[in-house]
Amino acid sequence: MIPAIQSSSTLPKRALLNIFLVLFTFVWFLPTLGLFISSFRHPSQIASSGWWTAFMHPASFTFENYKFVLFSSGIGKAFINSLIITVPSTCLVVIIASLAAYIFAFYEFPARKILFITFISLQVIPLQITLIPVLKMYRSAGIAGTFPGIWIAHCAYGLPFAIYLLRNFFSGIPYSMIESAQIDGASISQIFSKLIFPLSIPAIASLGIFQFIWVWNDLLLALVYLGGTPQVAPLTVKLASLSGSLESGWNIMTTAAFISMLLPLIIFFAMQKYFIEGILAGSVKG
Amino acid sequence: MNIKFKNKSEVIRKIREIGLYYLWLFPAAVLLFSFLILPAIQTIGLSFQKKIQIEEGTIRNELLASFSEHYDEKITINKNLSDLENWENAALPVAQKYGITIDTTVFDELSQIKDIVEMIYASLQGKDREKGGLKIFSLENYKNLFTDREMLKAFRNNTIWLLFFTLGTVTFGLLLATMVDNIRWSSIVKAVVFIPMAISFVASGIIWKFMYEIDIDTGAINAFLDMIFNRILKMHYEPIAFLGRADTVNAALIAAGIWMWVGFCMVIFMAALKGIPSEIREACSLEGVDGIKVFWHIEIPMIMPTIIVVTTTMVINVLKVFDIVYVMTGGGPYGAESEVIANRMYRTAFNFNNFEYASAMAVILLIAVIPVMLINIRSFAAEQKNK
Repeated sequence: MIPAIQSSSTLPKRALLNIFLVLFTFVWFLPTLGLFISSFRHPSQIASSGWWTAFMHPASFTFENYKFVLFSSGIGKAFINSLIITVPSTCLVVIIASLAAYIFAFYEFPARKILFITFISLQVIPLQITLIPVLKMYRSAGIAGTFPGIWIAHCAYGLPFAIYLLRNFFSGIPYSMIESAQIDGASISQIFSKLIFPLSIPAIASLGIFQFIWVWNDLLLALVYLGGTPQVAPLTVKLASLSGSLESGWNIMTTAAFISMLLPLIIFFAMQKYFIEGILAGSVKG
Repeated sequence: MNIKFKNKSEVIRKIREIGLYYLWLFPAAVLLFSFLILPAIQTIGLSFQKKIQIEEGTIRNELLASFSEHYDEKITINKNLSDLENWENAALPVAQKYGITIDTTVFDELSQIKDIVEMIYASLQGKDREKGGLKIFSLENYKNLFTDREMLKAFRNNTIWLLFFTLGTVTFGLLLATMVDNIRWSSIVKAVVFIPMAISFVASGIIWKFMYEIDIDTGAINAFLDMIFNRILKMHYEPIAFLGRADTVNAALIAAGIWMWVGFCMVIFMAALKGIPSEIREACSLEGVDGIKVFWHIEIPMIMPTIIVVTTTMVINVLKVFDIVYVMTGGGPYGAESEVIANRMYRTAFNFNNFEYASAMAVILLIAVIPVMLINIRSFAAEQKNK
């Protein structure tokens, strides 16, 4: 409707806006593009000429960096570790948070409100305040530097946001549906597993994607609770140590960084809608 | 009778029901308590402790001082305890100070003051092995925070981050959201601006380290500036080591940080702008109201709640900024030019093993988010009321 009433004077304005946004988008994309292009160049070329000159000799692109990084530098192992860390952490959060969010959304019981507010306000607590005692606890329990240790930690830290997101979604489900199920004699767990869970697949997808990307990209918790042990180090830890060591060349760093971005990018592009919905659910309604 | 029975079973049923609800909450409650609430309290406690190393001589001097004061005369180390009446009263306060409880039954075995010294020292050694050092209550960690050169740099840098990062992300995010709203290919802009949110800060850090390289054959920014100044304007330009200079490093890191987070702000603002009824904008354009005026006087006030939420989210993020600094500079150059609290805390705790001092830093971070937390709790509570 708006274009119909636009006067001719807004036309140059629109053109200007479009030109600006094209430029802006291009500039915003350049850093990632540079990394991507560099990861396919020969080490000698990366050092002697900028990646922006790469298309002048396109024949020289190579998979050598990927071959080396995946099979000889330990990044392949780190990729597997990242998966081993991320998948169970994500599942744990989804399960435990949905149990709690379901109860908070539909049932009345003493201290409900205060418990809910306490649970979700924990979202803003800086994790730094918890690292030392949790690490001490892990050391005495013997799970510092192990996968189960980091699964539980990620799950616990992810809960406040997860409960908040899921409860907001569950609240949108009409209570009458629960009531009629109750009249039919369904138990709490039946209502949850046969009614609420299937209805909430979009919200659970949002949460799952969000949590997956968050855990995949985490550096701090992996550094602290896995303690730099190479056997269990995920991609982020491996990348950070590569970046800190002087001998690793840009060919290795760019390739390793791009490998670490691959999975989040695929998930992001394939399920952008759910990812963005997760972000919106987590902040706008607050 | 019958009614009473019915009531009783009703009560039991209700209690069982509520028990069941708590059972469903139990896993989440246990995890939140043992990973967030309890550790936070423990960290606060730890921040008031200080590890001390005690020499035998110190204990001897303190005991002698205590004895001399107690008997009002100069007492030497070889004094026989049998000559002193009620000597426990002079010895016990010293032992208590080190947190040592002396079993009074062993008193008969002690004959001289130096035996007490040995006993206290020996039990201290035992304590040492058990708990990894003797700890006493102390405010010194907090005092050190405000005198330590690196920490002061970290406070300064966190403040710079707080101002410029928050301003940058919120302003850019808002402007982009308004501009993108008006074009047809907005999904492309949205995706590109959002990519950095999907990848790790570590990967982003590497991307920007690469961009900032000083070598004009590697670093895109220096190459670009070199082309503009040296080749086109024919001026003299020396490539800048953005991450290696005290005067550029923070700006360079913050710029990278903004690149990473603008997408987040933009997406939320776009959703908020979509919530403004289209009739309002149509009415404005029918009346011929200037687009900029609409933005300032209608859109901004209408999405103010969202602006506040995004700003508080950014403030919380920026207080905890860690990965970017850890990967790109490690807090350097020159020791601490780009240091931030979270990175300092990490290094103090896990590289230098000073858990007590690091705890004090973490407490500072917690205190800094408390105002934001209160705002959030208030809005949660308000939201609850509306439901």
